Amino acid sequence: MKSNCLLLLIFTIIFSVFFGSSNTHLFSLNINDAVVLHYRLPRVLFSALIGGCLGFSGSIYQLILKNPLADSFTTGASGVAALGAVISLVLGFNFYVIPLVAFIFAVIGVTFIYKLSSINGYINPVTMILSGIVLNIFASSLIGFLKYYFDESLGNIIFFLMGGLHFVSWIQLLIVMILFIILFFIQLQDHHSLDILSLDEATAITTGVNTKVVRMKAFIIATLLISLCVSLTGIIGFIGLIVPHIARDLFGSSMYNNLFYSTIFGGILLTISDTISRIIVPSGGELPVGIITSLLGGIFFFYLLIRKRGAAWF
Amino acid sequence: MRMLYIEDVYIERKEFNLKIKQLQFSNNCKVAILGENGSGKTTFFNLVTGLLKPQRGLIAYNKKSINDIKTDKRAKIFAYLPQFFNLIFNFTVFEIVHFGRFPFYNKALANNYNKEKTNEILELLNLKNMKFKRWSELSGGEKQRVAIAKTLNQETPILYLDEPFSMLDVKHQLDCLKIIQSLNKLVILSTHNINLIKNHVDRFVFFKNGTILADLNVNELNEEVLNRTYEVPVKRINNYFMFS
Repeated sequence: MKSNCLLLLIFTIIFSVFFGSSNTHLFSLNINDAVVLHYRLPRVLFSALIGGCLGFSGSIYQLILKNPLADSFTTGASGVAALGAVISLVLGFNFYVIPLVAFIFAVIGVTFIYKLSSINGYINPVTMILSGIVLNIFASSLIGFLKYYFDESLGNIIFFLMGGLHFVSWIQLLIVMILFIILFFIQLQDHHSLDILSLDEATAITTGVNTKVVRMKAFIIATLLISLCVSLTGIIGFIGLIVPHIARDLFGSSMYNNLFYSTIFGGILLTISDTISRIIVPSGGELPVGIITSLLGGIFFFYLLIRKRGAAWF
Repeated sequence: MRMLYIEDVYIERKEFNLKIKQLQFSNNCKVAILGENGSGKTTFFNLVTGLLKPQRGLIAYNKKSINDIKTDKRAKIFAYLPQFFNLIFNFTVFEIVHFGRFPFYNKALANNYNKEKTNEILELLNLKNMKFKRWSELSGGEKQRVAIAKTLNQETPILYLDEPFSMLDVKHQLDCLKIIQSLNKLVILSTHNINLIKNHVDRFVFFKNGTILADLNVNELNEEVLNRTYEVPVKRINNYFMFS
């Protein structure tokens, strides 16, 4: 099953490369098409990779925050990370420093949300989502303020709010890919302990898991990836909310499976969303992909609320 | 002989404190903890499992202070079923019970052995027919039996069970009590059902307002201590206690 899903992702990538504002035919390449491929291939690969990161991080967030509605967006992580990225952009930092600043902001933001919504280690899921979303709005407002304050001198500030997979180079792609693969396997090694984290705190600890250490490690890995994603693509919401649920419904709750399938499905979902955003506007213009994912995610979020209403939070 | 030893323990929490002069439990003993709500039963469990740290005092396993035992080693000494066992996400019954094997994972070779153990426990608690059911599909009582199975599956010499039967019907309470009685372990459990439990345990510890009111053998049980514990009139009829 794992290899089938991987094949599905590869198929989606190939399909998406040949689909866009100027269609390219698979069996009749000409020079023009080669140019399209040169630009489009890294972008499609990038969308698969970023989607994978978002799905993977969403799976981790939902587990460690014990909240099925948690992801980088609803915890405020991506909003705060974007704020960090924008501030470092304003201050003129370069490409390699921006994700670090974004990471520091995101860690502070999510820690704040965690402290705000937990009493004696018990997290109130509703408070968490509320405060996370408020934090997101707050960060977005600050970003909006910075945009108007610095006017058009920094044209792509708004890009952080909408999310989009534009400026991609092979080197960026490579860096993210290597980092993701390393973090993925580091995290996957903990999969037994991660499963135990889904138990209540007292049971998890007395089953032999050092919950604080495992949770902190997972939190840093997820937030690091989110910060990197946001620095490169802006806020792309809800991928991390949707795919862990689909993965759990299809392949069970074990974190070994969930981390894997959330990554694959995240990749597939963002690749498809990005393809849609490239072709949906008839004039040939491009929609920020964040709009597509937020639309899908919003519908899914309502679906979850309706289905789980009254049935506690699992 | 593995033993739990508690001396001069004191913990202060919001509007509540628990004080224990001295308590010790020897191997294979079956102990029931009784007391009204808020008398300190759960705090006691949280102390002996190391989840809470006392302001002062000693809690020791085999003469070794719990502070010197790491989390993973503790999980091989005692297993704890808290009153509000819960989990996020819809794991299957088999998976949840298998979580009890966590302290023994790691070695790839032990994997099949662990699965065998889990199946044995499922058999023992009569859960085999629902092993692929998911958590959300279970009734309250079934959830509690699954949680008990998970705790037993940890194969520790000590078991702490905080109101483990609160959702079970009489038949399943008796089944579980018989299993627990037959175990070669120290078992400490809290309960409110004195009549059901008294034929299955050796010793009773009564909590009242954060102190130990009485520590009795089964044949020392009397109306007076129950009356002082629960502050309701108690009568003994045919060796059963009636509260009215």
